[in-house]
Amino acid sequence: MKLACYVYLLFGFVLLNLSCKEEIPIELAEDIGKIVIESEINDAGSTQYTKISKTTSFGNTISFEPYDVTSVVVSDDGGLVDTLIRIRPGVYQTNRIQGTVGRKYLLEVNDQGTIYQSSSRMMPCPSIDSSYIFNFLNAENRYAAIKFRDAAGETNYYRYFIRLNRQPPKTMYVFEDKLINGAEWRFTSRRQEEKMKVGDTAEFILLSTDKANFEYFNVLIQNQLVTSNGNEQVAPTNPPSNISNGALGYFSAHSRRTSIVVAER
Amino acid sequence: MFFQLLRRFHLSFFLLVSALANAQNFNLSGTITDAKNGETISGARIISVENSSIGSVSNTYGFYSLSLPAGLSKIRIKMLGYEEIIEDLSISTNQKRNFALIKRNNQVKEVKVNAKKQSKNISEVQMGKIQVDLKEFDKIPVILGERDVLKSIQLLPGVMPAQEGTSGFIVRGGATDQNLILLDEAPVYNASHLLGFFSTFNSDALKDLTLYKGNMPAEFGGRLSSVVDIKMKEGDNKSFGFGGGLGLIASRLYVEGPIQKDKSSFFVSGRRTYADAFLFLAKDTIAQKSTLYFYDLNLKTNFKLSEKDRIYFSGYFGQDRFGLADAFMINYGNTTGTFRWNRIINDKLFSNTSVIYNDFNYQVKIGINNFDLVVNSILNDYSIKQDYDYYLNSKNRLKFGGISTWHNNVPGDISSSDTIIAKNGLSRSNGWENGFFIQNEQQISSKLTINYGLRLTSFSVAGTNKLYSYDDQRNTLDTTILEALQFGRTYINPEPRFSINYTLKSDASVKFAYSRNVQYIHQLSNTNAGSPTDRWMLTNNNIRPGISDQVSLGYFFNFAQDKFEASIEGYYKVLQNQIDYRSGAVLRANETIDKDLLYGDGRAYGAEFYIKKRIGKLTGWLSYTLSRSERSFDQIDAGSWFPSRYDRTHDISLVGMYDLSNRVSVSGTFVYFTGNAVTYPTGKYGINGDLAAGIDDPNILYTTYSTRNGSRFPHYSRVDLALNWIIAKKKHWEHELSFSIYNVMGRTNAYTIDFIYNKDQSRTYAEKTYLFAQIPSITYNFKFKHKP
Repeated sequence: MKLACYVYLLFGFVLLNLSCKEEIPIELAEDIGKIVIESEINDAGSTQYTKISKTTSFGNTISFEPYDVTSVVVSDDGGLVDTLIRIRPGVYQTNRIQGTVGRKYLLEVNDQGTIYQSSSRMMPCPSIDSSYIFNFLNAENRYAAIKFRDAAGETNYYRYFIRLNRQPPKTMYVFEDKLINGAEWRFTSRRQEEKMKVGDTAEFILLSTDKANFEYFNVLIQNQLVTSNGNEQVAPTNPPSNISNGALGYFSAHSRRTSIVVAER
Repeated sequence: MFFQLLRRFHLSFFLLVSALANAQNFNLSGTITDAKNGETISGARIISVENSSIGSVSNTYGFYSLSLPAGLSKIRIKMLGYEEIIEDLSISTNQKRNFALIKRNNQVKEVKVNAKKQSKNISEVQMGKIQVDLKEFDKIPVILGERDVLKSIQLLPGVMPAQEGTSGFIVRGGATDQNLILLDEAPVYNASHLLGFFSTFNSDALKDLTLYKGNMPAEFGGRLSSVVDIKMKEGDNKSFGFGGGLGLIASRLYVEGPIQKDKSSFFVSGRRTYADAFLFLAKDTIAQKSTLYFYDLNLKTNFKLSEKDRIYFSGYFGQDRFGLADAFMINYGNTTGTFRWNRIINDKLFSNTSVIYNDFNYQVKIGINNFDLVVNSILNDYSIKQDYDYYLNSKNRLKFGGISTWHNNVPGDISSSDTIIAKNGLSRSNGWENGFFIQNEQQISSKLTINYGLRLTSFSVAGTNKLYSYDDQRNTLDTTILEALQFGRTYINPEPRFSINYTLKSDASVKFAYSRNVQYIHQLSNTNAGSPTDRWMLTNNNIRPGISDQVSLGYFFNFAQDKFEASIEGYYKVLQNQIDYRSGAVLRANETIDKDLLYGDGRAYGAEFYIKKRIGKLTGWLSYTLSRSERSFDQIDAGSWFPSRYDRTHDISLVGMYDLSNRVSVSGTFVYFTGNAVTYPTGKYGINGDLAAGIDDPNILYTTYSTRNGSRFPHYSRVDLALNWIIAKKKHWEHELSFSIYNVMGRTNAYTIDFIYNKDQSRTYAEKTYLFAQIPSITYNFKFKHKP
């Protein structure tokens, strides 16, 4: 709640000892070892990946606990069937699928007889007209932004994020074009950790996804922002995965556009 | 024209009443007022000394009527905080007698104990009702020295804070929007300042507060959990006076006095914070140019037009303003206005006609670079209410009437130079709510009293309105537009109310009550804190009226010669059409929000224990509530019952006040309650999110979660202390200093608990945010009274 922060900040001049933070021990009721499947088909090339892991203890120092399954198979409504090759623990790859807009893809993961299935249709993505630096409040606050024209007609769902100085994204955003349908629109990165300095390079990545993936990431991103708990937030839930059989994660066929902008003085 | 019609109606009613009049008895009727300032007193009891089954209670406007047998009669007039009056009367005809009660100096003086008399808590039939002595509340320690009735009532059994430091409260496991807060009959939709830290009620301006915990009499309705009925001071009609106070964050001033002595008076009070005066000290230029204050203004005046007619005007205006230079601004506030006309139609029948206006509005302005946005929201009601108090005979007291309210809801009109953004305002909605009620309080025998009534309510979805219907996939199927004064669906609900009091002996009684309440307006909020921009929704084709059915049973007793009063109350409440949200639902700026709402059931039950020492140097109370509040939604954890955000297993409040001398008193409070039910992580996993670019990139970490509200916050507890020192008490002049320390033990109660991933994501830990450690404060209060 940004608004409340401002008010506490202002009010804080009078109440010097207002609002403090401290680390506390908390006993969590752990429920770990659940399968997490992350699988994508995009139109940017012919190499596609699937990553499989297991959930781990909250206090654990590892961020990825790879997990090997029996097989990972991707097929499409054009008759293609491809078994992905395990290249490392938990990482599966194929060089044979070039994602095509309009085509429906199916995923089947077999984990010793337990089958996890999903499907996703690749939606078209408009091209990025331009990328630029957006100044928030004053010239010192620089954020990467893009302009594009949304496709009129059926509802489009977007997911976007930036890679700042080639670093992986820290956060993601989703957007549904319901309110702007067919208009020229802009997306900006806007979190503190995405603020740019002079000389920084940002790669803006725009994905056009299906509705199920929009809904999955919408909740996932809210959960990331709402790491806190209690008074201020709506109760967090596990995001609605489009993969069957209780797997966490997502299967997304999406078209992908990128644009690079450099922060200049 | 309107008045003529009403008068004619009154006249015909008078004829009916005359025909029913009882020949053997005569009526004693009149008004009960405060001897010092002439303000009317509600809730005073007038009892025959010889026959305690003959009695009456003054109504909200001080009117009473009592049927007495011919001959000599001795009557007693009693009121909490006032000296008792005993009068000998010779009754040979219908009589009018007004009584003026003298305020008791302070609690130090022991009251003469009379074994025969019965206390109100025992004899009153209404359950779950607490009429608060505001003078007592003045002594309770408060945060930052600002007396706040909405925070003080949180110390009563069955009433709990929604969260630390806020005026939002929970009554018997109900949501914060299920409390109807009335200021001189006008609903106040957002009774908070400074995003909830203070309530809109300036204690200087308040005369009386009554809380009903669900089993409200039929005259009240519209909310599921409680009614907080607050009355403003009318103003001294005998002499001029002024007073006020200087506190750490705000100062106050009031003026009151007669316009025409004994006939009319006025009361004006104001309050403003001055935290913004210190902003220039800030180093940050944005902070320097910021706005941060709230103010409120209470006005009331009344005129006695004749011995039988009296009119009142009252108004409240309050605003909060926060701004961050020109970039961001939010203003919000309430306005209420009430016009009332009291008429004593005859010695048994009293009428009140009210015309009420209230609004809650907010405005958000954003102006950054080339981007500008103004959001305007208003929720306002226009009501007309007519009610009658009919003291039929010594055994029956009838109340009946009706209220009609037009709701106008503008959830968010948007203006912006950006044409796309400007198109995205939220549709307005309207509703017409009506309620008719009749209730009778009947004394069956000297031991048994019952109160039964019915409230019949309706709500019509009205134009201007835009209604959506959805398919199973939540796609919009159909849109219906209602033009102004076109009506959509009408909901009709009978709400029976019933309560019974069986007096076991003069100092003990058993009570039972049942009531149904229906709520037609809902607030969408994902926090307990309550933000001014939380959206209110009227019932429509998708959102059904909320319904609650509550039964309660209680044992009330006094002991040690009435020095102590105590009660044990149990309740069970069933709720229908409760609202929760789909995961990922966006509550703000969402035109089709009703497709993202979930509708489910609720249940709440508990036991409340209360013991109060009300007389002596040491006064105070201990209250303990053991309770549960649960909800069930088909879409959450497959419909299993889960603890709601309003669930607190244990809730303890201890309040003590001790008079060291006539001038100095000390007080302390202790509160303890079970932590909120929350949803904690059960584990974590990484998601890359862009496998095409970086299969080897570190993942962003996410957590898996338990079932809804499957975990608990640590418990909350706090001790506050205060000292009141009356520096001088002269004939005309009185001033005092109040010192208080909030959270003396400095316990760092969790406000939020965040689960943090450190920068390189190698470690995760829990971090607690707490708002207040010890907060000392000092307040200076003064009073001047012109006494001729």
